[in-house]
Amino acid sequence: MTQEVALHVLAGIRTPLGKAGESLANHQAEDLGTLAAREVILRAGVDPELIDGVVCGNVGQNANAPNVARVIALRAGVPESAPAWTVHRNCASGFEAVTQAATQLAAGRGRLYLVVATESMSNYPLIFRSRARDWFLRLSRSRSVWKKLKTFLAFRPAMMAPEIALMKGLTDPVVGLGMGETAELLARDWHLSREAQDAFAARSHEKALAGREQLRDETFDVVHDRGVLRDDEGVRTDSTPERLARLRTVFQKKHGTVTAGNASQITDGAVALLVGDEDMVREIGTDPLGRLESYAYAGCDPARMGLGPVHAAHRLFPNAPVPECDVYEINEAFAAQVLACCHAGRDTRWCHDVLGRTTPLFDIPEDRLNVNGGAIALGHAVGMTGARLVLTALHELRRRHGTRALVSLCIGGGQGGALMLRAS
Amino acid sequence: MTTPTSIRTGSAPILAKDHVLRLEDIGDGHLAVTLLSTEDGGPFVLGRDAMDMIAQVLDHIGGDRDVRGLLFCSEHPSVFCAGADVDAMAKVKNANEAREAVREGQELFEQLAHFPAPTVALIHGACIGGGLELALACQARAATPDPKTKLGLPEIKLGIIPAWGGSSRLPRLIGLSAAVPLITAGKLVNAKTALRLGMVDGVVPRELLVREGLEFARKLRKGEPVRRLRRGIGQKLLEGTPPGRALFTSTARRAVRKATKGHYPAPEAALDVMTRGITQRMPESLELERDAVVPLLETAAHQNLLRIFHMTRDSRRPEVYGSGKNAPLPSETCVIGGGVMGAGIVALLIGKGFNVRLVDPDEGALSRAWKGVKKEIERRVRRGDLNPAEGKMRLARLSVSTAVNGLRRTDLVIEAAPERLDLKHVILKQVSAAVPESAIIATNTSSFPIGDLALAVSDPSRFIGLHFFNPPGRMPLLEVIRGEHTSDSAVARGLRLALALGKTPIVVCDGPGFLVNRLLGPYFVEAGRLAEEGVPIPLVDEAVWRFGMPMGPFRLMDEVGLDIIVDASSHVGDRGEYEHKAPPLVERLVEQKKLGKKTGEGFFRYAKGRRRGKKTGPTCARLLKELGTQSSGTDHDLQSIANRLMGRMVAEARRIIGEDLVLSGEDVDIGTIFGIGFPPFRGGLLQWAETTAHPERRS
Repeated sequence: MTQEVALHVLAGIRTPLGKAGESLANHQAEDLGTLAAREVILRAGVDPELIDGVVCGNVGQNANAPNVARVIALRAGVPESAPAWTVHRNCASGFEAVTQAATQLAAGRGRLYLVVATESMSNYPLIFRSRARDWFLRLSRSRSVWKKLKTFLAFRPAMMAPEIALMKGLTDPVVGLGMGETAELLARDWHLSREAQDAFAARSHEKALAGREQLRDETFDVVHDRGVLRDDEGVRTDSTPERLARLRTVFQKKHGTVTAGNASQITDGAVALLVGDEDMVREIGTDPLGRLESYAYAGCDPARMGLGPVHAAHRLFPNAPVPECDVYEINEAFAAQVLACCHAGRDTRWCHDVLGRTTPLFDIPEDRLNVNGGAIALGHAVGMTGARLVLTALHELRRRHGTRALVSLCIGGGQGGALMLRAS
Repeated sequence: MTTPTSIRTGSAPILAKDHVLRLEDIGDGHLAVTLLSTEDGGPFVLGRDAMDMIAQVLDHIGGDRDVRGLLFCSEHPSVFCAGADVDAMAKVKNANEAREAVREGQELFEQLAHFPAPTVALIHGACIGGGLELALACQARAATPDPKTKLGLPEIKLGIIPAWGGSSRLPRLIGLSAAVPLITAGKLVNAKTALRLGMVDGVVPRELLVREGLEFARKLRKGEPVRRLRRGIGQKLLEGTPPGRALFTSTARRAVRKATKGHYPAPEAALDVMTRGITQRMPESLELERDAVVPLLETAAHQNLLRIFHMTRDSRRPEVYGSGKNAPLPSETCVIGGGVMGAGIVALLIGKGFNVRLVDPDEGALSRAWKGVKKEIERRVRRGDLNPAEGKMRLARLSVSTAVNGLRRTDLVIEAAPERLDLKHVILKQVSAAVPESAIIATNTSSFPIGDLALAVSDPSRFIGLHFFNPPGRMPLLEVIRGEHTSDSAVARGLRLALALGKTPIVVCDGPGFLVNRLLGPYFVEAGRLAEEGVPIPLVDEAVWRFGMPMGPFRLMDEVGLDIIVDASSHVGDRGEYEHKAPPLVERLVEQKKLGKKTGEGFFRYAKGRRRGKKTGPTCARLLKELGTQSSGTDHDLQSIANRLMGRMVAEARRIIGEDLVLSGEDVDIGTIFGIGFPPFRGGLLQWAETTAHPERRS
């Protein structure tokens, strides 16, 4: 189901992506979000009083900042009267924040929204197992000395072994597969070799290196304890296919193909966009970055969640091929998954059998896909990525003097999202 | 029974003018509330009218057997009672009149202390000096946790002691060891500390103050203690036994003498009254207060401190305070340059709750400044001055950038870049283009007259100098520099910011060195000359220290950095108008790369940020020898050394006044006291010069 919308991106800025545990590790998700939000307000020179609401995409919600959108809004100087809410659609949380604002604008509920998407994967918690939690609970409820002692003796050291929230988040609870395993499945389905995946990954780093200067258009310097982070931290100069080939496979021991090198990086970062309706563009008098024309989300097989972008793009254009775009972004959760999407989109038979189409969906030229590198090189700060892709694509569209960009990503749990963007 | 949360609900005036209200609230009688208020809604000050009002209340309802309790409270948003009327104090003519005024206050508060029904002070806002003495005369006190609530007896800061019973009642209430530091340093405490010390008996939000007061009155009527404070054994031994007290007294006296360097008689007098008074009955203790305060009221120190008190807050300088009060405050500020001064200004602004954008091309400077602010916030959170959530909020108000951008809604920029004319021009041009036309652009330069920089600002009427002193967070003076084209409203906005930052501002017209640095020039030159004449450097510093300055000229030059002294004097000296050229000795030291504290050696030697020994450093000693200086020994009159040095500053100050660079001589006094630590008891540079030359003309 497609939807015609009129959301203009008036301004946008993001932090560079910090590798988990490194430069940005001491910034919580709300800190990163606040920095980005304040920066976009300052750069746009917009009166915060005009903001009708704040939407924030975030996956790993920090217990210290419940409804992180509200925390960010107030710290960034948005007036108290503007409501703020947090949205979660796994990897598409950043998309969700943008499309929620689009819905609000379409319904005429407001004219200017601050869209934030933030993630601090460095700060994902370690969790007490439920056995440990139950034990603590029993202990606090044991009134008599005898009962207390009894509860005390029921303690087992194994209870103290924590569960890692990050690992939990990367495992599909319905089909019981890790995200990497879903990528391995796609690699088998589409006969994607380790070499092809590594070559794709190396290319991502290469493009990101070449695009460093361009990416600075969309980032701002983030200050931290040891200095200032200016560029995306995950981009490597030494990620050649040969070196990538040396990495061990992680998710499938025997004949596996997915490694840390051809999968997206775990990172921290935040992006903030000021979005408004047409009147607001005129009122503020800025030159907008571009607009959101239509969008769609679609569900698919959770075990093959990586094909989500294809399903979502099909929903956008069910009866005709996707029109030619100047820029394509398919989030690089895994090299195998992006490659599978490209294959599936142009495979007439698959499009017919699975999507019920009479024509293929798209055939993406290599030189228009993820032109400044993708999540393999830059990083995938889950909740942030969707809005980051919108910002990156709009900047690239402007550089190329293009008119249209298709931005999509796969969503853990078996969904996909696709946004059609237009230059202003 | 209903408990009113608002004082005026269900209450009717007993006396005229609404001062006393009857609360219909106790079965067998009623409580009376005395409102400490003024006709114009201003802060309540214990002047003649106010004292009469309280006396009238006590007389009128003291005999009313129906009154079951008396509460004091104020409806002012930030002041419970601001203390004695300082203006009236200044008008007292002679010792007899002073003694009478003191006795009157003491008697009034004695009457209050012996009021037949329970008395409770309900404190919200400043409760200072005479105001706290009033509260101490009540049987119980409750306060609000609001940051505006501050309690203390700061009389010491005016060169006198609390003499309306404060020096007697406070030690009786909270013990000598807690009361002595509070009174001898004139320290103000917040409600939390006051509760811990036992100065107040309860802390509740403002809406619940009256309810707390009713409960206290009820308890007092039943003879129950409002709150029981436990004293430790150590405190009992120290304060409750004669040898303990003797030990305490001698230790405290040493500490007080160290702090005053013998220049201020009041703290020692206060200590004396407290330690002797506590062993005697109340009337004798009050007599001790009277005997001590009357001579203090006549000292020059008191007169001078009183004058400074007026000059730094009130209507005597309407050009400063009047125009400053009404100007708008900036909502978005920007500091360009994250060096020592820039970072200090940023921390100050953030500490006062401003939004700040710091711009510096050097990423390291940004990170250091950001970390400095973060550490300062964390320190205040640890100390309990700031709650952690507010701390996070403050840090979020700081944004940084390596380029001049994001200033489209900025209304104040402070340029604090390195002292290079070309660099400053480039920055000011960029800034002029980046900010809205209504923004004020300021420079923190100390080397250049701002006229040299105004050319780069697109509309120079909005260009001012804001000359902070290092470290900006701690130095109270701020010189607001008016350039040739600067508009009145720009000056007013600079003053408004200065006041919001808690600074003592003076307005100085543009010129090399402005006020303070221009005064220091000849002072340093003269110091250098003394050294070249053979007066030992440590002796010069000793003379100036004895005079009452925080440090001598050589130590000061070492702290500032000798390279900076030479640099600054070259900017001032270039004009060839004044004798400002840095002393040859300083230039030689700079050639030898001995720049003062930061390099470990200048006139003295330093290690780990502290001075090592009091002797002249070896390089300096050698250079003196090379200059052919023969030590003239240590047999010098310290007073005349100090006079000679100060005399040079006085001459320069007279020249400055002749050039109409400051509004009046008072600005010179303020500038020297708050900018270079000229001893306040001497009243400032020109006041001192006046009284030394004409001792009979004490203000």
